[in-house]
Amino acid sequence: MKIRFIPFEKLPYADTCWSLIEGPDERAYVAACCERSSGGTVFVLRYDPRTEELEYLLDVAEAVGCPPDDGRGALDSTGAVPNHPRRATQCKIHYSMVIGDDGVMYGATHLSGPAVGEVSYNPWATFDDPLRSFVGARLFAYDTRTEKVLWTDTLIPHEGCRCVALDQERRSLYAVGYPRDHFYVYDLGARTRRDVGRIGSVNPQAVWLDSRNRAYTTDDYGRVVVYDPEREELTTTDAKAPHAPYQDGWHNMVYDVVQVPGSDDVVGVNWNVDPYLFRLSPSTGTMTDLGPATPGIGGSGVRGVNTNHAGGLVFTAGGELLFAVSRGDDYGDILPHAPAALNVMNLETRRVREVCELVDEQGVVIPYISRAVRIGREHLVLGTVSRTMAGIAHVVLDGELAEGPWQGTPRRYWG
Amino acid sequence: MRPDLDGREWPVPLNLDPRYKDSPLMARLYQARWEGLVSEGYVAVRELAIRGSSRAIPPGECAITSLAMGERWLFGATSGRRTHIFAYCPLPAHEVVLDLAAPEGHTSVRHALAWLPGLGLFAGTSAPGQAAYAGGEVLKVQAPRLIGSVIQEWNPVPPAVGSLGVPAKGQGVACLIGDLSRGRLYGLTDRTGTLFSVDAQSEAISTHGVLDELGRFSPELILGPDGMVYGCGTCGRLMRFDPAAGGIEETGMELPRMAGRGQYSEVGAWTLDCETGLIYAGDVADGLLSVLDVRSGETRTLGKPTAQPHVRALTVAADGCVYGVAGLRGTIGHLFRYNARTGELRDLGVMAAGADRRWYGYEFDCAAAGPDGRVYFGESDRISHLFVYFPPVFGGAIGATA
Repeated sequence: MKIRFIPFEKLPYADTCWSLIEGPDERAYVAACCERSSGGTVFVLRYDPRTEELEYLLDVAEAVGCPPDDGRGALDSTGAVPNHPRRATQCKIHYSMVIGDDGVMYGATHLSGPAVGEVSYNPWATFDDPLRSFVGARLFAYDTRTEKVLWTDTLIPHEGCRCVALDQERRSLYAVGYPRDHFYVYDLGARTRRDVGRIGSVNPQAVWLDSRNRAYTTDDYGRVVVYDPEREELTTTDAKAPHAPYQDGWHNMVYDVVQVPGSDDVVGVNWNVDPYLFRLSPSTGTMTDLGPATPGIGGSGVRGVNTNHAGGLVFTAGGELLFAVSRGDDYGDILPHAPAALNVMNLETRRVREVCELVDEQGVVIPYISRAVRIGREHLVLGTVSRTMAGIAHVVLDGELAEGPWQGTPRRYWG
Repeated sequence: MRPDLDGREWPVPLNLDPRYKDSPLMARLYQARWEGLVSEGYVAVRELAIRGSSRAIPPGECAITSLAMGERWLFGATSGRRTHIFAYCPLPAHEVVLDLAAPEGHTSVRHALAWLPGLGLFAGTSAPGQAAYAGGEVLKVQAPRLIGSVIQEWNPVPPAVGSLGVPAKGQGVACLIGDLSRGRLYGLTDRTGTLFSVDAQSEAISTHGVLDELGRFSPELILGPDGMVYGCGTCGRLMRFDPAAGGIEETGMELPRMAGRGQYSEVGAWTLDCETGLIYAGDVADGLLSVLDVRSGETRTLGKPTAQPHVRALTVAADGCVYGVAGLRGTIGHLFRYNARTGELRDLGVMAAGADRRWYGYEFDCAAAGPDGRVYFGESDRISHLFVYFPPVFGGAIGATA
């Protein structure tokens, strides 16, 4: 198993990679985010695992008309001039990058990074501050074939965008905003937005679709929330994502969801201290507990929500589920130090085995995986997050992991 | 066009600059990030349900837009696709929200709930935006009874709900207040601002003319310390209805406002301090808090308690302080406090709770004070809760970060 970490070398202050999605050109599109340093902004990159070429495609902040200095002139090394506050920057794209079959990418920005001259951003204290507030999740349509920005708009004023799904048939985006946790519908044709209302306090990390293009997400307790575009209604269902028996289901929002090849079902994992995997059949509403991503946590002690994070769900060519789990200590920092493990699950037997530890051939430890794409049978590209460097990981699968009928994975239209 | 990164110079970000990175002031800056949530006193939320046992009032129907304090119960009402009238029992062993009624054909009860001891609970309904609306009713709702504590083996006795009639055909009730001394209710209709009264015992409804001839009225009434009913019309003119004489007249007082903002002057929320007889009023356009002394005819601006416009909820608590929430619809409202003893006006931040559930409170449209010092705020979001604020007993605040 070959594992190579690919840093974003040309972006010295990039610190995270959350969004990662496959284009119809069988290349991975990547968001290089910069959320922990003053004035940082996000870039879109493209990685071709077959040629191992990493391209720097788009300076998103420039493209959407929100440069880090807020158009107020050149910066010096100490930051902003006093009394000239700047807005929180267009620092990242969370799970809000989707690509249609025509190669047009829709990306929506997220907040968290501080303005130039500031060290952090507090949306609760500055939500409608006319000078400092995040201007909003900016939406851009970018043609990955011509490498041109087609248009830009504001998807959600003053708020960041946590996650997006693309309904190609209706030409709509479904999104969740941060911090108010509202569900939005955006009409790509009319370029209009509709606020459908609040769904909770903690953001779900994914909105996904079924074959009828109904949009799904979860509330704070993992209850499945469905938006029906025909009825234009948002409904909280009684289907609830599984959680550990010692928990009450709080903070059990969906983290990552992937479609089961050859099925309308999806498999997902929750954003929780003890994340569980689940399978949901949209036709019947049946929620199946696939068990804990990391068995044996037990619930005692003090544990952070990222300590035993699970993410990067993708199916192998043979139809087995690959996912990565972080392996932090009980008192893990906001991000664990230890290498994550790449696991594989057989959905029929629910047997899980570890494929490898995510340590690259140069010894780089990869502790946290946000998203994954599989390109061809053997190329696995992983979005990575750590405290020390930003980049992606390229894993070349071998043996039975690279064998099977599914040359590609079902195209994913959500972040 | 692809970015030219090869030749780009990257300024060292302030927080990574080695000169400042480990500075105590840098740590202070980071700490300041977390100071936006309420840290003085205690905030709890209560689901609009028999928690753990029943479904909460559904999303889209649960925005709390009216609160009224009774002796044993706090009463509330919601707006949305439907309106619900509920009761919350604050007694520890009985703590529960009971969904008392969902009157058919109405979608809102906004600032229109009045408890008159010995007479009952009264609600004024409306249906904003609904075509061919028959008209808002004044409803009488019996207080519920609970047999047993709500820990083990309990049984609620459902209340009876009756209609006292429709004050104005085709119009909803914009607001409703009670006057126990006269056994009457006073309200405004929502289209013409017609002032009406209801005799709570005979159930007779009378109308008394419009509050403002241009129809630019605040959808609020308040009972003054002098037994008069006050409302607010064009340019913030304070109007008075004398229940004895029966007419509406100008008081000569106007709601304080920012310079040049008179045409937008409107009451967002107001409350009577029964101890002092002063009325505290929050305005919509600028988010100012003012005090009105209807006996002397004086008005005074106390200040702008938060950076936001639109004071949406206001009450005087048992500790003598005025508590309120300001913030435009669709934004994030802040809790504030005015302490009349010290003159301090303070933005306390965004209300967030860890119990009954972990929840941020962004939008609020009503408030009520409990006799024991608790302050209640009605959340008015797609998913809403009753917020209970416990002011700090001895002052001070727990550090925002541990």
